[in-house]
Amino acid sequence: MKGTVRVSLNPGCRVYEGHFPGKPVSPGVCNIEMVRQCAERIHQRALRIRRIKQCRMTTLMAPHSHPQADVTVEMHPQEAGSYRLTAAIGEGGATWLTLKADVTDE
Amino acid sequence: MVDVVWSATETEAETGLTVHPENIFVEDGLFREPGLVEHVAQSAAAFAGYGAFVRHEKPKLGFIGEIKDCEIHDLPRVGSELRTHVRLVAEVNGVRLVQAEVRSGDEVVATSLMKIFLKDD
Amino acid sequence: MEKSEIIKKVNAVLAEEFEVEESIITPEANIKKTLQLDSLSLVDMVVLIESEFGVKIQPAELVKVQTFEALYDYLAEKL
Repeated sequence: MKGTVRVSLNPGCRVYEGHFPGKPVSPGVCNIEMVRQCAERIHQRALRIRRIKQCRMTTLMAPHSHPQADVTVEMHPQEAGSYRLTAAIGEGGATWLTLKADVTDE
Repeated sequence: MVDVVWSATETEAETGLTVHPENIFVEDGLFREPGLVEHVAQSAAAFAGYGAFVRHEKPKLGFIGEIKDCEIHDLPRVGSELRTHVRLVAEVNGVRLVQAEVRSGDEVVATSLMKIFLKDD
Repeated sequence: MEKSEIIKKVNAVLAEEFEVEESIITPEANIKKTLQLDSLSLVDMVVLIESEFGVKIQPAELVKVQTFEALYDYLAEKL
C-alpha cells in the first residue's frame, strides 16, 4: 500500500508560539505525527507506532519557508495487524525527513 | 514537556514529567507516541542546557536530528509520573547522541537513541 | 595493534556500516566524502570507531582527521 498526501503547514498553529517564540519551526515529533496521520488516512484505520527504527530529519521545516509538503507513505503488512512503514516528507525532489517504523492497527 | 530535572551531571541526567489531561499529546486519556518522543527530546535539551549552565554558556536551541531504535512499549495514562534517564553517548560538532529510557513506576514505557543538534538562538 | 591490522579493521567496519565498497577506501581519500557523511552520520562513525577500538575520540582532535590515513595514524597513536 502506497500513497502521497499533500499537507500545508499552518503558520497560525499554536505549537509555533512555543517552538520557538519569533522563530517558528515545526517540532520533529509533529513531523512524525504528520506521517502517522497521513498513514492513517491512506490505510483508513487508526495506527499506533510501536518502533521507530530510524527517523532522520535533515531540514528544519518552518511554515514560512516550507508552506507545503508531500508526505509519501508505504506500508508492508507483516504479521497480523502489523506493518513495516517507510515514509518521507519533502517537495519537488528534496527530502526533509525519512522514517522507517513498525506500526500496528489500534 | 519536562517538569523537573531530578539530577544532572555532564554525562547523564534524570528528568520527570507528570502527564496532565491538558497536555496536547494526550488523546483518550493516553499520552501518545509523539508526546513520549518529545519528552525524550526535551529531556535531552534540558540536559544539554544544564551542561551550558555549569559552563556559564548561553543555552542553545535543540532540534531532533535523528531518532534510532526507539521502542514504544506502552502509552502512559493521564496522571502517570514519568521518570527519564538520559545518557550522553557522544558529542561531535554540536550534534549530541543520547540514549534515553522512560519509566512509569517500575515499567519501562519507551527507550530510544536520539541525536539532537544544538543551534545558537 | 599493528597498523596493518588497524587499516584492515577500520576499512571493514566502515564499509559495512556506511554501505560502500571497501575498494573505494584509500589512504588519501577524504573520509566524509567517501562515506558520504553528514553531521548526523559523522556521530555514528565516531561511536563505531570508539566501540570497535575501545578508544575515546575527542571532537577537537577530529578536525585533523580528514583522510583515512590520518584516521589510521590517529588510532595507531592511541592504541
